[in-house]
Amino acid sequence: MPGAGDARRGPAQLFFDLAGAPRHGDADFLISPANRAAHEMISRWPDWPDSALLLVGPPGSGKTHLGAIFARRHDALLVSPTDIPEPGALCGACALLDGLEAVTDETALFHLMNFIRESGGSLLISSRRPPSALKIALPDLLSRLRRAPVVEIGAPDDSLIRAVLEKLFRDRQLAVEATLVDYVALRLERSLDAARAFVRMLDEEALSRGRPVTRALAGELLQLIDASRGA
Amino acid sequence: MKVTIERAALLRALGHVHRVVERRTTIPILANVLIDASAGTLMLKATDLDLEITEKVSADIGQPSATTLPAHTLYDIVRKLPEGAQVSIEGSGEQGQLTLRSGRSRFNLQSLPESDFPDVTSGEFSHSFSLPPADLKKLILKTQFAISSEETRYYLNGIFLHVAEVEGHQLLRAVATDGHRLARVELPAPAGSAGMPGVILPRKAVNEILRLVEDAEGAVAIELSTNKMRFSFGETVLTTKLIDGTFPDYGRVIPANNDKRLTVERGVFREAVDRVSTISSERGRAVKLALSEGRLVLSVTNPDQGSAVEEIEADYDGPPIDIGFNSRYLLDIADQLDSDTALFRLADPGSPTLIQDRDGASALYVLMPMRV
Amino acid sequence: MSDNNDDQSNSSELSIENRQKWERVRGRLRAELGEAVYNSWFARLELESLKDGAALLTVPTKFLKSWIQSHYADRIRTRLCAEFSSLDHVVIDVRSPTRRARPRDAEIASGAAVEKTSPAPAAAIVERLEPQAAKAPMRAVARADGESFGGSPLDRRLSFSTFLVGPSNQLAYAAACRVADARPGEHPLFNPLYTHAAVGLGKTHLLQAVARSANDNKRRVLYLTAEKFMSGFVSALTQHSSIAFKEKLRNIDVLIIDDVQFLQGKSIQQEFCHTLNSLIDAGKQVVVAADRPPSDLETLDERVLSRFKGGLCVDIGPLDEELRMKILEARIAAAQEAQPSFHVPPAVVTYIAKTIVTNGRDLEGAVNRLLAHSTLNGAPLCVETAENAIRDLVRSAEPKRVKIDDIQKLVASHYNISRADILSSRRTANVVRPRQIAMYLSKVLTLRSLPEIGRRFGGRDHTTVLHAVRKVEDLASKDKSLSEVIELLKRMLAE
Repeated sequence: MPGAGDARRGPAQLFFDLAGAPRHGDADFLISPANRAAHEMISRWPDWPDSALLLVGPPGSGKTHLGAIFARRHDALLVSPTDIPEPGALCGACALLDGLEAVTDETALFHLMNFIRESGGSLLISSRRPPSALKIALPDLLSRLRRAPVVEIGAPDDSLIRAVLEKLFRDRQLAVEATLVDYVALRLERSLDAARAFVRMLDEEALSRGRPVTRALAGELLQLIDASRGA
Repeated sequence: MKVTIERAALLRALGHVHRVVERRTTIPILANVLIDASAGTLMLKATDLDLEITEKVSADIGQPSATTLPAHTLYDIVRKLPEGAQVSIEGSGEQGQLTLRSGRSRFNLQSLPESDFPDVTSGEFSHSFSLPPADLKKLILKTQFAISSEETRYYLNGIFLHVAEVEGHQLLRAVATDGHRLARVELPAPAGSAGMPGVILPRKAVNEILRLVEDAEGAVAIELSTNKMRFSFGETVLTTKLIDGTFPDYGRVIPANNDKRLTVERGVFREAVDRVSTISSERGRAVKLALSEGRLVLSVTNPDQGSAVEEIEADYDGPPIDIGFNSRYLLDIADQLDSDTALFRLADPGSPTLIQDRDGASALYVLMPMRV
Repeated sequence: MSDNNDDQSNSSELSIENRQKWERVRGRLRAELGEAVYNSWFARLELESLKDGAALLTVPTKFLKSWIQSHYADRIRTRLCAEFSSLDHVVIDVRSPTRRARPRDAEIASGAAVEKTSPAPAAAIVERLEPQAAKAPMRAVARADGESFGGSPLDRRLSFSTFLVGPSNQLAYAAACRVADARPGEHPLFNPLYTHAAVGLGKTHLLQAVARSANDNKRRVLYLTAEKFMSGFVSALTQHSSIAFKEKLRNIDVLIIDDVQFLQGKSIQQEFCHTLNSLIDAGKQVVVAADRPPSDLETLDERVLSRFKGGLCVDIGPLDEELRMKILEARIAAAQEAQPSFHVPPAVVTYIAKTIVTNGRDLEGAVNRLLAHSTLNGAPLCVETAENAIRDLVRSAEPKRVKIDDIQKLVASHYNISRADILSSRRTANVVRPRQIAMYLSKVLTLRSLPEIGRRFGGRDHTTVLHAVRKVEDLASKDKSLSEVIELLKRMLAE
């Protein structure tokens, strides 16, 4: 799929979207105070307080990555939030549902949770927000979600933002100076989503211009972001 | 050490190896070429730690020994000697000094011990095969222009070589891209290449291989493993480390369903692009291609200088479409094509365009448009 | 029909032409059946492949498959044949919900086990609930259709001995015990027994306790969730085995159906009504539970409702504090079996019992959170940590986002200066320190970047903010009273 640098208007060279998928390996997960509890709880399976565990954190906080680690380690069944299988079609040890906020069929999830509990399995559910803050219409489902313990991934600290920026550049195979990472970390909103969006923007703008990823280019884009926020 | 050798043979060998040596290096031994004299053969070797070239030449060896001498100085001396001269190199007796004599010229050169010379390319190779020089040249020539020169994107700073299976046929493919354009050329995979790892051959090695292949007579023997590759051109052997990166999954940027087909006379097209882009103030400004039935209008607008328009005949029967391209890229690709006509397959002004000599040609080029 | 195709990757890609034909078939079905019917049954029907004269259609659930097969198979076949001339048969199958799909024997075996061990069906099911079941990898299975009408599994934890009684559930408990303790052949006293309660108050616990106890009492029990009843009934219909299905129902002594509010569909309700009538008339005990009284089950057939009203209707009310304490203590004791180091001080139990007033499942949720908290931190629990651990159960909203404006106002009022002073360029000591503290709090409590924070503090440079943050960190590490002030301000901002 082609992409285009949206950072500036006017004539621009379009470019190939060559970026690979983010790496979701065990070693790629960066542990920090913000996500240590979540990572530890995932690692403790099957020693969980309940048949379900809720992983709550803002977009880009690493829920999908933790879920991928869990699923790979334990051969978990991946349940799509928009196509929850009939419970009779499942059994066994563990399943992963990534994105509670995207669930369309609440009744199906209700049956699935019941089934997994009855059959002694475990279900890891990730969600951007705690269940009580989501508009869940089915009280039976909400009550089961509220029974599940919650591990939260909090706002990242500065050291995590730095580490994540380094990982994002590595994922895109960009060899950048360490000072660039520090420079960006200090000036960027302290969220992983912002870090991810920024690295993508920087990579694409450099690719479009055929220029290296430098501190000067990062500075230019940071100013653009600031200006668009101020406007 | 005592060696006597014809100036022409020495110059040719030094010509092959000395280019590897970086002009500015902070490690003194890397500025030198290794000279190893033994049993009727003089072996020369130069390296920059990533790339190494060795060459063997016949010589009259009076006293076998090995040492190293400054590569560029040695090359310049031999180059300036008269044609047909004989050259002798001899230990001067003083530690670290060598004497080069030819006719009435005499040079005392500072040497460094052979034992300090790095050996960075030893080790086993997992795959080996051979290619006719013409095939190797084609793989490189057709793709080299698309290699990225942008150093932070190290994984694009070379040609990706790999074996792909297409409808039961094994193909050896060379691919290069800088993110704006992509070139891919393929050959039937030679025996021995099956199962080879995909490797990225760095730009510098690509340049040297292209020079060596010009002089090659027989088939080029190629050996590789995941981190290095060797090309043997008779007595000249090039060994290079490979780029330690993952080449992108380039297949997904090659469009499969572009349905608008444009065929133009290649020469006419090339000249027209060249003419209209004269108006650009900077290199590589966009040229707009306006396609309509039977014709193609090329135009460039430069707010500072004015505008240029040229219409050429074209075989096109799709709906009208306007699409912009970097004129430099269009010229590069037009230069790579072999036949008299060029076939463009387009989708829309924001999607990659496929360019070939004809359907199914062994080389294909993909070009991203410019937003104009 | 046996197992589904478990290898979807073989299915050939449809050509564009065939896709268009399929879209026409869908369009015709939509026009013929109307939007509502089409959306409920056909929206997720896909044409998977066309091979050797066979069209493979897939749906996401077995229920949909059964329904479409029994009601619309002929219509679909006619419409498909009109578009695809070479077609000679149509197969409808369940598509794999996930990336992997492997047939699995154990599930089929457990369905069959219910039939084979009819004297003690519940016990047979209970066996597969033992914890070691958790070691088998989970995967999607394609199950043979005729097997699905087994009982729903029972949770071994849900028995009369673990049911805690208080004023709010006393009546329901007594009625359930009476039903469970009846001798085989004894004429039912309350028939049907209808229990209703809001979520999490123990209906299912009571029903499963009845099932287990009646089964121990040598009576043949079938415990079903409404969902299970529907899927079993539909598959019996499509297998033309509804006679066997009715026969099976006739051979039991006690039918227990949970969550009847989920019973939907006209023919299913008719069948349910029929089943109810024949069982009650034959003197068999029926027990049902729902989340609301019979009069509020709007979608249920009138005849079913009147049957419900003819028996005993009992409700379980909200738990009082004493019962909540009992439930909490029992839950904590159960958790301690798995993790002996788990200790909850009495003050925390009292706090939770007073705070979580909703239902038993929320109490369980609270214990789960305490357990997770103590597992991860290893520190002893106190009321403060408990408050933190259960806050998402108590507050429906997420913790509020702290704003830089709020920080400036609070810090200004704490230091008895104005917000304008903080934003000003004045450099007197009484203004500088509060300004630095406000900058520090902005960095720590919001996600704003340093340049953004600088801008909000009267257009200062980001290096000024960075200096303030480091200065306050440094001072707070040495000055206990300052660190206490900062903690106090943080708490006030969080509220």
